[in-house]
Amino acid sequence: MDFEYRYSDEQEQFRQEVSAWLNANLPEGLAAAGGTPRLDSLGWEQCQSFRRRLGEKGWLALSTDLALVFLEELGKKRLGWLLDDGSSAIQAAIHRWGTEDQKNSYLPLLADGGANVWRFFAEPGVRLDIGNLGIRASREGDYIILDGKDSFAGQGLWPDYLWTIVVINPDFPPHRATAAFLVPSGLKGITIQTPRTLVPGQTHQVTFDHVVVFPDALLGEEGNGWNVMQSALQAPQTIQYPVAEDAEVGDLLQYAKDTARDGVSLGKDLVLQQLLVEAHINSRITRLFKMRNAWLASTGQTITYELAQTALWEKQMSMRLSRIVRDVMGMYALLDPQDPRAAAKGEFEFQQRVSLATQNPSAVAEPYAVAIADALGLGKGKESG
Amino acid sequence: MDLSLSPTQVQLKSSATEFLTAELPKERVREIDESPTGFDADLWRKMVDLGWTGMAIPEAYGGVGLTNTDFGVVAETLGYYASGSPLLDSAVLSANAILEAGSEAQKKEFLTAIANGQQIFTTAITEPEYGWGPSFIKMGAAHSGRHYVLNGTKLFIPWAHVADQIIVAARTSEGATPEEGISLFVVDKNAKGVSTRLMQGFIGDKVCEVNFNNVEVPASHMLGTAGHAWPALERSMDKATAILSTYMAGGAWKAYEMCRDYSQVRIAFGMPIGTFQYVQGNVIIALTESDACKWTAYEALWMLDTDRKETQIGVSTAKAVASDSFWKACDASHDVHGGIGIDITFGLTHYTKRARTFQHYLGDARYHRARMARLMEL
Repeated sequence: MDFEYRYSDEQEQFRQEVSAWLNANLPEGLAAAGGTPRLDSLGWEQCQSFRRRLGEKGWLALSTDLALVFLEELGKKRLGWLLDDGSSAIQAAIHRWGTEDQKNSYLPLLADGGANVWRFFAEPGVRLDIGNLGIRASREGDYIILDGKDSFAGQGLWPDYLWTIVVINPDFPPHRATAAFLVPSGLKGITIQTPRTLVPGQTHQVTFDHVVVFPDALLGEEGNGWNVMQSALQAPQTIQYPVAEDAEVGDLLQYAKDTARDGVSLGKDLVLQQLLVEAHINSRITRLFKMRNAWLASTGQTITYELAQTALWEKQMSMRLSRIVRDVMGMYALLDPQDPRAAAKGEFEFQQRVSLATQNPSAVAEPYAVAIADALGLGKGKESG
Repeated sequence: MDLSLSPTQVQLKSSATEFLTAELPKERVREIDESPTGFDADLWRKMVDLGWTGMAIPEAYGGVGLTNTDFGVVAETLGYYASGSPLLDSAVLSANAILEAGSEAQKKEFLTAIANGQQIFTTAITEPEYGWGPSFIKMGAAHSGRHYVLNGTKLFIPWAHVADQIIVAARTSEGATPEEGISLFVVDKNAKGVSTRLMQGFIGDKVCEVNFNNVEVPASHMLGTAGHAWPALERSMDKATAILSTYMAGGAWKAYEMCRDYSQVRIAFGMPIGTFQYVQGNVIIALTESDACKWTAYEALWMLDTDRKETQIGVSTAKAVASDSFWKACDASHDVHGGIGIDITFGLTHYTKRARTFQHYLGDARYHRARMARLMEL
């Protein structure tokens, strides 16, 4: 066994290039945002503009090895979330399922950072629940008509495209009933609402009111929509090796070292020590699970429960970390960046919010548990031995 | 990064699985556990013949000189079968203490005896004021001519009742720090003044109370120099701790498999109980706890094998996780099984009692988290 990721010379050279470029070109607003992407409309415009600059550099369509280094360098600036836009999944889907025309149209656009895509939210490995799909497709001559409403995940206030899963053959068995479409967001009949949530700007409600779609918006075969999205979410390029250590936990440990109460460092408090180390251990386990997943994917081994297990673990540990942060920091954990007393630019306050909304728009763990249970064959029964 | 087993490890796992499937069905585990000594000499001899007692010992001293990860693969399989034996205590903890602290002559004498199965060793660290750090070693060893005289009690010492030699951690002087003043002695279990008592209760691998009443130990049986044994003992404990963690991962995985399988065959309200969310949740807990245990343990072994600077933190991470994961996996499994889970003949309790025993052996989660806090300079 070897738990160390070893970088090639090419990766190390690329790291130097990225690091120097980011130091010279990172807009002040984004640099200040740090790990807390709570941006106003101006901030999102700046974000999109910066993403296009990254695209011009060719850094939004990198090989898996270089993408890892790029993500690590962005992570050092606390900007890893910039790439958390699902573009790697949609690129994987187009590579595998797209027509030549779709590949020629969309892949350069995504690589240039010229297209912001929101996607219907589906957890990797989760069983299709037809009743949970809010959009229906019907035919009208050569066109497809979309009607309904669903939740989408994506950054910013407005997308360029919506990657949606719809029910197209309601009378067919579920595995033949859905279709995936890549729909331009400017079509007549599309309205977008971004609800005020604890983590604004990341989940959205999109309503389709008799939206007329050209047939070439279909991604993959009709009836195979769910499989198109699931295969993309589980593609090797989507399952990345985990980048450097958990910055939130690192910041918390540093805060405990640097902060004294009643003349004693928080890190020396025997009760808090236990909690701080527990947070460190939990982040190590997360990292090991992600390493395992990346190893399974990169070596072409079958992935069954592992992705859903990792997502469920992350969600549970985010909640646990949230409590540990409060126990260690007290009221300081609740101060946002606008408060001059906030620690670490209000990062910990953001963690308090994110922990309640991590991983999926519905903020519940059940889909992951169901996915694991399915993978393990629970409930199917078998002959008693 | 490559998380696959090496060809040697695949071979070790395969042969261990084949051997233990044949030799250690759950009925046999129960018979051995319930026997007066809890020790199966015939099974032990077969383990010796397989070369397991020499896996961690260099070839120069009669062993095979395999890596810690190699041993971990076998230990994980032993845990899966709830195998109880002095293997970890003799062939890992004691052997490494001798390797780390012993003279060349001591290594040749003692390690060869461990490797070829002539003698079983165990290591006595904990005392009535239970704890795993150096400050808890209070038993005294007084220098008297060519001997040291040991007086005191060691508690929860694994397999001391069947051991031939006991490596005893005792204090030969007071030091400026708790680490200073600790020495290691190889004590003949049958020496005058040594008495052992098998401790009774809901215990997995057997543990003993060992009393030392004016036990004279030749100075030549001291490992290393007087008062400076703690670093060697700590390094030995780290190796044993990481390997024990893989044993616990194997046990946790079995507890998971048992509840997964049971949830598929037990019918309630006309359907398999695995249909019910509460049951599914417990199966998932068992699965995730055993996975966490496995990967942290193997990462620690890799750190040991590659001499990483953060090895001690990695080892304590592994044991902090294993200490809690094993019993959590077992408890979740019990929750799925209900009444049949506590039937001694069913087999789940073989794991449950070991989970609770090993939760504490070589340090519980709280001890290892505190150790990590110190190592991380919080």
